[in-house]
Amino acid sequence: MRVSYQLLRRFLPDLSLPPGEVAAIFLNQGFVVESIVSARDFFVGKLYAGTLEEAKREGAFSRCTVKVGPKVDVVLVSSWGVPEIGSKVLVGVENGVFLFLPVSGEKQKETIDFLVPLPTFLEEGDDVFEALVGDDVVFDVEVTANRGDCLSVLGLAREIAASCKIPLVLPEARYLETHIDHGFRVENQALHLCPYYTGKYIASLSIRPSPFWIIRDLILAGMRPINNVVDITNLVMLEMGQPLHAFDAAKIGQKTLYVREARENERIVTLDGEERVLRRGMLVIADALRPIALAGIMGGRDTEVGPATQAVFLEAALFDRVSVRRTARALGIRTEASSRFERGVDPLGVLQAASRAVALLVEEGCAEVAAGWLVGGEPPHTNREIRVPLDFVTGRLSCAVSPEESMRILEGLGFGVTLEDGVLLVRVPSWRSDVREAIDIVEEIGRVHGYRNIVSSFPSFPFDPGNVPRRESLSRRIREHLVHRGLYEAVTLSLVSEGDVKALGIEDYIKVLNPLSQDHVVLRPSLFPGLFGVVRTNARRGRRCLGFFELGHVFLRKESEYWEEERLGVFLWNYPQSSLWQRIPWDVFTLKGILEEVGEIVGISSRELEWGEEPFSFLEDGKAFAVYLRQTLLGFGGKVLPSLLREHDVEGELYYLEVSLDPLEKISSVSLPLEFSLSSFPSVVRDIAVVVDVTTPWSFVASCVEKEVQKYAMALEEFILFDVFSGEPLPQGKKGFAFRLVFRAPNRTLAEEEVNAWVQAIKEGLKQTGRVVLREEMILSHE
Amino acid sequence: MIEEIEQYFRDFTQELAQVATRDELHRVKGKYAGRKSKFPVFLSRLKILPLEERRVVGQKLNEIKLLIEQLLKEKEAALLKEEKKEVLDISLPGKREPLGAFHPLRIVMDEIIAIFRSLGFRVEEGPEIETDFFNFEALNIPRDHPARDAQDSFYLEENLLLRTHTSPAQIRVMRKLAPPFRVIVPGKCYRRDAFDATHSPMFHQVEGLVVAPGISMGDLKGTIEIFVRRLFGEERKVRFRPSYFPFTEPSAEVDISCSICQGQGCRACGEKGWLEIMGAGLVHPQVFRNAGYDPEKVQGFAFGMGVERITMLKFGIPDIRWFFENDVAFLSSFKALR
Ligand SMILES: [Zn+2]
Repeated sequence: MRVSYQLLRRFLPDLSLPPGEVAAIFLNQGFVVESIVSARDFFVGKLYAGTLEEAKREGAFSRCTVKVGPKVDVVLVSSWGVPEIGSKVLVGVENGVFLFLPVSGEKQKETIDFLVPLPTFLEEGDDVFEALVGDDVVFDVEVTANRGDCLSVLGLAREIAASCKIPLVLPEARYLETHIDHGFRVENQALHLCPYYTGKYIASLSIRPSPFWIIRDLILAGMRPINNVVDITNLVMLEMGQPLHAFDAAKIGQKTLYVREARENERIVTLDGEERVLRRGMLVIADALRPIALAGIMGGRDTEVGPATQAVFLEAALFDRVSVRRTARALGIRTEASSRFERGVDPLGVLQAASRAVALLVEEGCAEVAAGWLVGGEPPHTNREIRVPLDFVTGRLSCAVSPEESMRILEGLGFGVTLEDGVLLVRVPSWRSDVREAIDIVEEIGRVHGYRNIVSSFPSFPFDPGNVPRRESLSRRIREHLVHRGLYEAVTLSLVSEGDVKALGIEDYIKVLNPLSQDHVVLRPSLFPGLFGVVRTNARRGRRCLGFFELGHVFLRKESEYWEEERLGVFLWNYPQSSLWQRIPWDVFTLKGILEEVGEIVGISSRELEWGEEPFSFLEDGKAFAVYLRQTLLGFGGKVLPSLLREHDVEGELYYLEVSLDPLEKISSVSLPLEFSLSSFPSVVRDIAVVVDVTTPWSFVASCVEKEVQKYAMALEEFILFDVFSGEPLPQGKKGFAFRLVFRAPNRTLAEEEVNAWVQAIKEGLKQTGRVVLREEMILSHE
Repeated sequence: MIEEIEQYFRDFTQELAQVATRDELHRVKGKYAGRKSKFPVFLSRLKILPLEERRVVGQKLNEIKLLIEQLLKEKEAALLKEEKKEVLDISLPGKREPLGAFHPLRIVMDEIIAIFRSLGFRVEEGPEIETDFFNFEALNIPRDHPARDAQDSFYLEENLLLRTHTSPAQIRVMRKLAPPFRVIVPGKCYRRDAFDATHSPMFHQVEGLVVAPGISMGDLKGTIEIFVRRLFGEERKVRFRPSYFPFTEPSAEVDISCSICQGQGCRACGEKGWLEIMGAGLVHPQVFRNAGYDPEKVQGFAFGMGVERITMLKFGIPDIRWFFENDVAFLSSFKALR
């Protein structure tokens, strides 16, 4: 809502604060002032009073000669907009060029609608800005959705009045009525969408440009002047917050206005020239034949007030806010009128605003006003009364506002207040439908009294034991580990493109019904697309790093069932390295290692994880795996297809791992007390080397060793594979494993013979499988 | 002559102290111990002294000569030892593993969580896919309410959407817990805003909710003031001003003073002097009713802050899109503790 300082003063004659302090009051009472702009910025060039020297009729136009001192310009003006020869009109001069509507943002046109008339006391060449606009400023005030009443000068002025303790004065609204036998009538057939519809017939109008003071107010409010009748309805809407509409009375069929719901596919051409196709249930004003206005949103072009208009039907009504909002949104229109109805207008202010408009019309156009109002419905009763104990106010606000101050504030805002036994009895004014219960009154008092007066404290109440941050600690430990391993943590959008998801071979995914762009349509079912995008961005910019990880939700669906779960995604990147600084490249086993490390952080031994080769459409065959924990899928990973990298210009190799966090968290239950074994007896170390067929996995050998260890209850402390070898001197098709066994007993020094016996048992066990040969017993060709 | 000999020794010790290499030592040795030293001259002068004096001076001369020889020997040994020692060029680069970095949003989120944990808050979670009821209706934002304008949503189905704020967690928390409690709920939110320097279709919030009998605006203000001082530093000022949210009453917007101008107004803060960091207020009685609480018996306050905005203010990041690009050049700025 834009309001100028001078316009505020029309309602607040005693206002003397500088604009900066007025803006501070707005802010402190809940209205952000977006900007304070000098009135000068709304006009273009220097403003002069010019003289209309001559006007030659050319069809609907007049060729007008306007003079400012020695300079003269000729312009084509619609004939209705030409004042008497010799009158003073507004001329803006910029770079020597005359502008007849010198307003910022206004396009220069071949022909213009009217010359802006100036008061007679001005002489040719007078500085109009200095004389008629002056040192004014415009506040752009942001009005919150609950304060429809402040989409008006009246509402904003009331806020200042309450703060400054100065009187609020309403503008004059007096006029004389005459009896006119016009025959118009109103039939309200939609009281549920329009509880109150009223209007007045006004005749003998002459359509002219508005006087300068109205044009000035409209321009400073960001509205375009049209003609005196339309401008007056707009000005009154700005002043009072009540949208009004004037129909050309001559164009209303059969002199009857119906307030009714539209029929399906009914059409209307609105003032902006658009044809609107209406749906059942939208509220319209219609005559006997057709809709003539979209109620509360925009008038129809057929009944528009124009130069030929002689009589108008002036509408002032109360339209249902939800109905206006739905219709405006459905048709994609938002107008000054609709935004006010959406937030609610003052039901008891309807006639007051209409009267102000009638008075201005009379003052302006020597109009004849028909006696009485044509009415359909009645304004709803709004005399809500709220009981507010004073200690409730001070308690909730945490500040010692006095009863007198509370009452003064509420009265200043237009509430009726009486004090009885420490309880405020508050009558809510008709324009404050947002105030419903006692806490709303607390806010009103607090707002004007000032939030700076709230006394800070810290909530003290019975102890809340809090919760165990298990998941939080778990994810923090994992993140720390990965950062220390050289990876960067990423945060990517949860919305990805459909193509990216299809490329993963995922069929069931969740789509957004109303996406903003095709890049953000699907809720990610995997962290892969987003993280791969991160690698691509960095590759494109020539960045190098070891890789990325992200912890975040993925979104899954099975038919109509949706769920989300937290996952960890890891990308390892072997980017092309310079020869100076070589590191061991990442591979599938690094992925496996990272998952084992995460398992170790959670407290899962790597023996509990079951690994299986598994194909994925975006991972290289033979280099992809899935991993299970107690029969549930924990994650998957592998080497990203080189073709995918080439397609996106990523150099090097990429390895991807994705792990679900929920199963990890479930497993990582706390088990106390821990069992410690801190034996200080010496250990005995033995290495064993074996040879097997290349098709025999390490797990075969490992499980065989473990079986023997269990069988003889060996005091085995450590069992690690330290070498895998093949090629010469081993024959083709064979490979070797070398592993270390560390024995240590908790309660004694192990005897040499005891350990030897164990090692022998393990060796025998291995041999008995028939698939394992001891390296030392193998006879190689050249030996 | 005694005086002369002593001076000769003082000169020697001074020069010896300057010696750092064997070459230098060799030079000093030649000057004070070889045939070119002054000793032959002193000896010849000694012969012409009276006997009694000759004995005293001769003794001194001998003493000094032996001392010089001994000191030279010691120095030589010290230099030799130095040379045998391995030379350490500590200016060579260290052997190390490259470090990664945490994402700045997660750094700030962790910090916010840590502050509220220390103030006795518990941490809860809520789903990112929400129903219209939890996201809007229960928070006193009915269908066709103008307040929905500011929260254009991504819909998945008629009544299913991506949450536009973390506030639906207020209702979930109230249904799950019994007062009194203090809770924060961090998480992702989504609004149908096109990407620009200050808007993103996805962003993070931290919701706060405190429910107990007698909670007031002062409790809210005190809590937020402590939080802001801890996160931004002692010198920042906090300002509360009235605002509107359908689910709080009274409602407030919380501003912090601009770090550059301290509230005076400058270009960085758009001449405002203050920067908005969160919305807050007392829990609206209707929200309590919607969650099955009696607003006569318990009161509460709630707040919601945008993590992106706070992170941008804290680190001076000019563009919200940087967070989601994850450029290594950007992320590596957060390797160091900030
Ligand atoms: Zn500043």
